[in-house]
Amino acid sequence: MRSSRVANLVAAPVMLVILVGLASAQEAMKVPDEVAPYQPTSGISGSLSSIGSDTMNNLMTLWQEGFKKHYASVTVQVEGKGSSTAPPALIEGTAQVGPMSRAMKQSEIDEFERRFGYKPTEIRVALDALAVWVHKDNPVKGLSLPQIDAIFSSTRKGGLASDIADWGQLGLSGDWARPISLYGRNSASGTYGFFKDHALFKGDFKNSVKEQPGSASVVQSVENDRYAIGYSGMGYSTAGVRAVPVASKEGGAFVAADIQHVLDGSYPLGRYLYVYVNKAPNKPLEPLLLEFMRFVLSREGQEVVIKDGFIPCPSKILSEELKKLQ
Amino acid sequence: MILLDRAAGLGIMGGGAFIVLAVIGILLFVVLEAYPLFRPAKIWPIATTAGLADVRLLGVDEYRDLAYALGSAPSIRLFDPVGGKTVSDLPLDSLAGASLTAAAASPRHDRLVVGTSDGRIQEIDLGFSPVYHEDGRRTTEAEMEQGRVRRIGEGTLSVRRLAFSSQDAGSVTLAETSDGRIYVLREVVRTTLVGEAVREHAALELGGVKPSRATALAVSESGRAIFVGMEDGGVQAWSLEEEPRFLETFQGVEKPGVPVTALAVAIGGNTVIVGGGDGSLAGWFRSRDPASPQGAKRFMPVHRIATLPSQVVALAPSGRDRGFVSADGSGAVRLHFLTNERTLLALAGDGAVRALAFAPKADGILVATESGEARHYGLHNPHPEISLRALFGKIWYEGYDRPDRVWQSTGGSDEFEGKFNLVPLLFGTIKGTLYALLFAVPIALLAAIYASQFLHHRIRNVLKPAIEIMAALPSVVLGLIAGLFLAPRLETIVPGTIFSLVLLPVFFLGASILWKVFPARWTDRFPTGTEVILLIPIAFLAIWSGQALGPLLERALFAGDFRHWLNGAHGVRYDQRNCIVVGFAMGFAVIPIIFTICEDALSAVPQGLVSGSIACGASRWQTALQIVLPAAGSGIFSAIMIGFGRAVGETMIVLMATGNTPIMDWSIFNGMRTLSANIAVEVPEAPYRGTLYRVLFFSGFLLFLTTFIVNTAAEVIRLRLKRKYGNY
Repeated sequence: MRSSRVANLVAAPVMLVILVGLASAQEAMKVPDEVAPYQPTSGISGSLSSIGSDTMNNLMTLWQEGFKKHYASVTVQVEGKGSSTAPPALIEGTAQVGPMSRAMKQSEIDEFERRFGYKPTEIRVALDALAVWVHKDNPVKGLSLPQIDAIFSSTRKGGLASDIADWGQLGLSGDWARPISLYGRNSASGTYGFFKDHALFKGDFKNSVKEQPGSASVVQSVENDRYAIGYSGMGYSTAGVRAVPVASKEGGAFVAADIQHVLDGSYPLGRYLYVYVNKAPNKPLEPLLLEFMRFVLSREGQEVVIKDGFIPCPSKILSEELKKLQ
Repeated sequence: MILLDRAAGLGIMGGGAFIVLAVIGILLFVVLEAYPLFRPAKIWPIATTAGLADVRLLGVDEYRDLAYALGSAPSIRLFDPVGGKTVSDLPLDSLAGASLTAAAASPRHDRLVVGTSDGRIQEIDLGFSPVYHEDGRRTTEAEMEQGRVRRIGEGTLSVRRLAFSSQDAGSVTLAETSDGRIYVLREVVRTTLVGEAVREHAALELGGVKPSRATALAVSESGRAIFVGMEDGGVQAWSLEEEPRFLETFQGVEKPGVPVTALAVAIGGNTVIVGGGDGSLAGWFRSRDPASPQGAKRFMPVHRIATLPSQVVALAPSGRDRGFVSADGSGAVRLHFLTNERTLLALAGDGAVRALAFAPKADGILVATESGEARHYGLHNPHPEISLRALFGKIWYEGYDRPDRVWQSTGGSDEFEGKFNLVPLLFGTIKGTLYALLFAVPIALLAAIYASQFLHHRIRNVLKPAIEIMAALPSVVLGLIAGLFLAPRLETIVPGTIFSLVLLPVFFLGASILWKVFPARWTDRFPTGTEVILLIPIAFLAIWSGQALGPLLERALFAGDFRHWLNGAHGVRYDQRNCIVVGFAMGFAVIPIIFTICEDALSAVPQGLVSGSIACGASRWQTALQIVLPAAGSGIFSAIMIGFGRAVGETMIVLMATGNTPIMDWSIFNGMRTLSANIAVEVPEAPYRGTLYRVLFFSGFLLFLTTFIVNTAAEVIRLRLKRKYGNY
């Protein structure tokens, strides 16, 4: 991921300008001043394991690196194959941290409760916009959610009467009036589930969506396939793809997938990213896990969120989540 | 010496027996993991609570620690459904003096609405909260919060019937008064940025229910869909966005004149379950009407679930899956599942049922009878969605236009309808194998014939190990190369590649003709069997000229863009990850195996046969085709079968190179999803011992079965060939 970004920087000076522009936009995004910096405590050691979301893989890795700066003897293992892998891992005890890019399903909570007798604790750790990617040269102005639904879904619960299989149906002409090539995530992914619920109106994907094992792989496929469309978290942006502005209704205004529009709720595919932990009622969290979560919710932790291209939580949410850990 | 022989014999036998045992053990494990899919649901009585007369509504908390019943007195009677004792009465102070005439609860049972004889309606929040004690015990407490009392109509008529849904964003109550009018009462909760909740109320009358009288009401969990069942068997469907909008009336009970006696909305809010006075039970949802030219949507009787022996008295949908519970006139209680239209279990009735509740986690059922008892049953029903039809047959899934075979196992929410049809995966497995063999068998077989019969032994001694080394290439590497390198490049040179494949034999033929033309003093320099080296540059030349001519050809024949032409002229989609890529990559994995075994078999044909044939005047070609090939037939056959087995089970290549699209289309220009790749993709997310987990094991069993049958058949055929043609 990161190396390809670097490669692009070197290869295309034009892109460099754009990226610098992006970077300054990211500088403008800051963790609110009232978020407290992390206060390390003493006597923390041991190991933690995190299994879950692929979208949050880089994020978890960066958090782990930041956390290890405070506690050199701590090891944190990060594995990200998809959000659906987090609940089984928490239940089996193979992981203490379960990052997920969607909220847990009731059936997953039931399964957890059957084992432990109480519900897992949900911590919101960042905000994300699910971006719909097209090739960087694709001239399409924007897409409405019902159009996205008609492109990706066989059920078309969004309400459009006919299927969209060709860029020509979206107003592109000439060389661009070609069949759309669909890329998506595998079903273990929370992104897959979130997209299904919000962009497909809880409908089903077409059989022709090529399932990729990771977000980076979706973006890379779109980069290499001129007529492609795909989706992943906004943190996976590269120079070869473009996030299409999205309108929530047919004929509505197109809204770009950026920080401002996610925070004010006008971008329809904004979402929280979660970390689930196993906290027994009436009992404190294990110190190492507690410190890790405190780090994630601290100023440093939220700065990492910005660094990875996601959006930090508002301070009110952060203090609410900190309370849940007590 | 004899001792050593014996020991070796025993060791070998032991090893063999161990392998057989291990295979049987693995098979047994797979079968045991898959078997519970087909086990029937279990139900068992937990406790009966007596002294609950004229119950209108039953509910229970999610842990089934605390239940409640509402009668006609304005109070909520709490009881312990496990111990079978009444706990306490929560009086509804603001409704004191009136009697309750109707009540309804939200699907989670923690919010309810009651209506009185004097036209008052009140929402009640029963905040169930688990309390964890120091000793690890858990008890549940209920904290009642009464909402505002509202009046409907002129406020003098009694409330006859209620339906209710409630979410954090607000609630929708559907109320019918004794004069047959129906009102929609809404509460919208708007949360401001500061986090304060503002409640807005609205009430309006639902017009147009006449001329037939309403007999049942239902609201979906989101409050967006409203259904009114009527005396003549019709069901009115409304959608509720800002205002109620009438959609259509459909004949919910198909026999004319029979009333709708119970209505319920299944999880997801799109399917309505209609119970009729004749015991009919059907699931309806909106789907594109095949009769309408614009593809307008209409309610269709998609699932005809059962016909109960007497009228349907009550329905309770599950909050977890697409199951629901029904009660009939005799008091019999049954559990059904919408998707596969199965009745999973039935409890014989004794005495009429007054109210029915499906526990929020779908793990228990509560039944209130006319005799004043509330019976609590535990339910174990882990895989209701599985049946042979669900695995292999066509099913009309919600939102689809017609019944279809679909694999889509996971959704992002609980209301997702799991689609576990294995046929697209079996199809993908066969398709991938077929294309791989189509590519590999001719090359491997011809190469083996050439290598064993014509090739100079010195070249052969180098070539054979070299090809065998190909088999050592990890399939992950092949998949990676195919998916990330080959697929995007192949896309741009499809016509050139096809052209190259045509040019190769043409160039070879040309070369062999030239060979005959060349003077013998040139050709004699190459000993017999080494001429092939000369073909290498010719092969490159053929491929190169194919590629060079490809774009010209594309311009001339396909209007400059093959993919576009394919889609426009034939409606065939060209996918970047397709069978050509898989054929190449998987062929690479299979060729060495087939080649080696074929070559061994062909070389094992005794020299005497060959010499004899040539001595009788046959040419080398005739000898190879008519003597050697049949004699080695059984070996060649097993080589192909082993190649087949390898291709069927191959995982990494198809996983990385096919896009894993579960489509059923023989086209070489798109991909597939195979059983083995599917297992690899989905096993990490499958909840341990959940439905998906077990279905994946079942598909593993199918894979095992396929290879077992093919291998057994192959062995039988091989033995026959052996008997017929000789022993090589």
